[in-house]
Amino acid sequence: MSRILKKSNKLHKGNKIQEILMITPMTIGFLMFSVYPIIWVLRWSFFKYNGYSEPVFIGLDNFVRAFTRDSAYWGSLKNTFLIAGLKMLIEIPLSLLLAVLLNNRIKGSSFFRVVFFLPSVFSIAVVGLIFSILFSAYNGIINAALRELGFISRNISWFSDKGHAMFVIILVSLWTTFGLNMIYFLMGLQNTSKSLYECSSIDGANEIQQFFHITVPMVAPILQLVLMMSVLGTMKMTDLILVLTNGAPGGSTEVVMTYIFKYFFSYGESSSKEVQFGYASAMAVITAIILGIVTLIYLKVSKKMQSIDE
Amino acid sequence: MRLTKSIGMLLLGISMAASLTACKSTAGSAPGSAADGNGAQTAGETTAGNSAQRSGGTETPAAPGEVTTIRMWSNDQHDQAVYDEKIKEFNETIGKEKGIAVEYTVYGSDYYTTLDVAVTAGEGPDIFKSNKIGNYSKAGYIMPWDDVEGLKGLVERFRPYNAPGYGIFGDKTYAIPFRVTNYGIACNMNIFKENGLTIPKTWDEMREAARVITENSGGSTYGYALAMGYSSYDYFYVNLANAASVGDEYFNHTTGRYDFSSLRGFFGHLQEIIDDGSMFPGFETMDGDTARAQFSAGNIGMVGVLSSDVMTFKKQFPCDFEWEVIPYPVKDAGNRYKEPVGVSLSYVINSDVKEKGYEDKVAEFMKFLYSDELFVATNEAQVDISILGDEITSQSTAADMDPNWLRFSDMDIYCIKYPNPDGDLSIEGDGFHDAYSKILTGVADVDAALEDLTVRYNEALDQAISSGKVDIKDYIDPDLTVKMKWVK
Repeated sequence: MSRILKKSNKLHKGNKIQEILMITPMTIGFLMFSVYPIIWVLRWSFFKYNGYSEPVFIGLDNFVRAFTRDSAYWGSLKNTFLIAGLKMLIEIPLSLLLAVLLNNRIKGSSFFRVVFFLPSVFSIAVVGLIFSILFSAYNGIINAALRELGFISRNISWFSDKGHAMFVIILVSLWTTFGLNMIYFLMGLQNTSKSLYECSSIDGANEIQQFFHITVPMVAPILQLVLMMSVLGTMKMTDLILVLTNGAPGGSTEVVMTYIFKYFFSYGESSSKEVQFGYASAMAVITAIILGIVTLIYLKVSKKMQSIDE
Repeated sequence: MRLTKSIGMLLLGISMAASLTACKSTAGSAPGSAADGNGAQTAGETTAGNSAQRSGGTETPAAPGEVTTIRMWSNDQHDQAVYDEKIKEFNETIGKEKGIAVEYTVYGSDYYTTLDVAVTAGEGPDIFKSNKIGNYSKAGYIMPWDDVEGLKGLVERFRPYNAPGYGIFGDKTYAIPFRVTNYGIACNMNIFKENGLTIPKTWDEMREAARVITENSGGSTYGYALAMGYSSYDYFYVNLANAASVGDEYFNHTTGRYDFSSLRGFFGHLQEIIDDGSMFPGFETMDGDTARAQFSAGNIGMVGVLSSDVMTFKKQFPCDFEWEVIPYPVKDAGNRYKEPVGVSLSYVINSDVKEKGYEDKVAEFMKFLYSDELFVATNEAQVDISILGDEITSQSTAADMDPNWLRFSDMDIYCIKYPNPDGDLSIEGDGFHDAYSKILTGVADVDAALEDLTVRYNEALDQAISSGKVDIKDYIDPDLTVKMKWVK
């Protein structure tokens, strides 16, 4: 008995070493690339520091500045929520609808799956560039098409006012992500038992009733995930804005991540945004907390979605 | 089972050891690899200059017969061909004789970020173009030239063009301005002739010309393009352009105070062109290259250009029509001033050079870098305008100089004025760049925005003065009126 116990202990010890060895590289990576940057950002948020001069400890002044003296930061946050909200309102129903349509084995559904998914794999920078050319005020294809169809008599300058610019941003952002969400919904739909639809048909339910009373509840856990990813993804939107508008006109399409980014890296060599690591770090901390709170609230509110499945 | 586990553990151990070794070798080779990329440090390791760098500054100057490698960085791509050729010549002649080998590296758009990282890590080059001369001098990253025997002649020669804020900080000279970037409005003369227009001299004439060009073309050609996506549009085509009408910039070099209200008329002039529909569509986000491309395609009558665009319109965006550069029109042709000129950023010397004891070799090269020979070469290649003006252009013997280059090189219409103290101020909220963008896109009211800028910049200036960061005397130019007086 003691020999078996000894052997088991030895095996257990061997397993433990193997586990530690296996987890070590990942842990080192996590500490280096996640924990250290977070500590770095937290630390510099209490300093006035531009990267080359002597850092000066200023306590909470960066946070006070963000909360009391920087309306542009809150404006960029407002824009972010606006884009996320409007995008979500269109994106989720659209993705779900397309997933339902493509789930019915109609002719050409595989082709459309690929076509709809394709924008998700393109580089955002390239997409931004292409759409900025399409929406060009002078010789853009969109203006030409609208003129040809008689909708407009004079070219629209899509990036000269906030309304038009926001419309283009939401449209392009939507185009790049709806396909991926459609795939998630499709996966959920394919896991839904066909017998539920058959039973409901026998009971006399029509397709619309089936959609709201079977399809939606059955994909609810995926809907919860997709909603969260959509909101968080949009909140972190950076590259698309930088390529498409860079905050123009007059900073009115600036989103929170591009606003912080410009203080970190002085993007575009704009004379007014010199590198301010300390202040940028403080804004990053505030934004992270806000995103954390949004996520928590959302998870709490959407808890019901999980229970439907159960 | 036991054997499998043992083999598994052994393989895991080997792979971990291998990856750690790889990490170690990568980390160890990182600086070298970066230097390999630009071909500087590898070569330098065998020489006195860089071997000195490795020993932490305790070494002695290069012994006779040894070659000191001097690393020089910049982001000047427009004149790289001329510099590469002249530096090669230097290495083969003076350098060979005096034991100096210069390695010149030109970086792209990420230059200043790369430079900041390198300099703060103690890996900066010996000579580099800097946009933070004041900050670097305070941090001790760069050395003053006044104490180096071989540089005293240069400091004296360029003293009339230097000023606090350009290359002088705290009574010491850390750099000398050596060239200027001139600017103006390029007119497509074919379009002007087709529409029976003459070159505009006033804002009203410019507005009228823009309106006529736009109206007569039926929407295919526009009168003027202010490319607001170009990061320095506010500097060249708003601040400096306005100064020719009002006699100074938003910082008043006579009173030593900020006064953005002097731009009120200029924004009105731009707004009139926008309201007429004569401004090129999409100007709000248009970058400099797009504006040049559209001008070259004949879709724009007038566009803001820099002296470097003479070659751009030959090579990058060739114009198959006659174009002519003119000074930016003014409010009142009978009461105009010279145009303040943009002094290009200068080269500085890393303070490590002095610690390592080869400042005499660096000085030798700097004399070449600031020599008439190099200035004449870049002028004849039509890539750089020397701050010395006629002194250099009169030496040029090239016969086929572009007439627009000659117009840009005429320093009689430009004024090298004192810089503004902006770089030493901590401005919270919108700087003038963002505020101008808001005004021109209708996001902000012009009067309120200019008043707000004046108040905030003066508050920041007062703080900088009281903290000792700014000595306002450095920015008061007693000769401004004479310098700005129009003499043509």
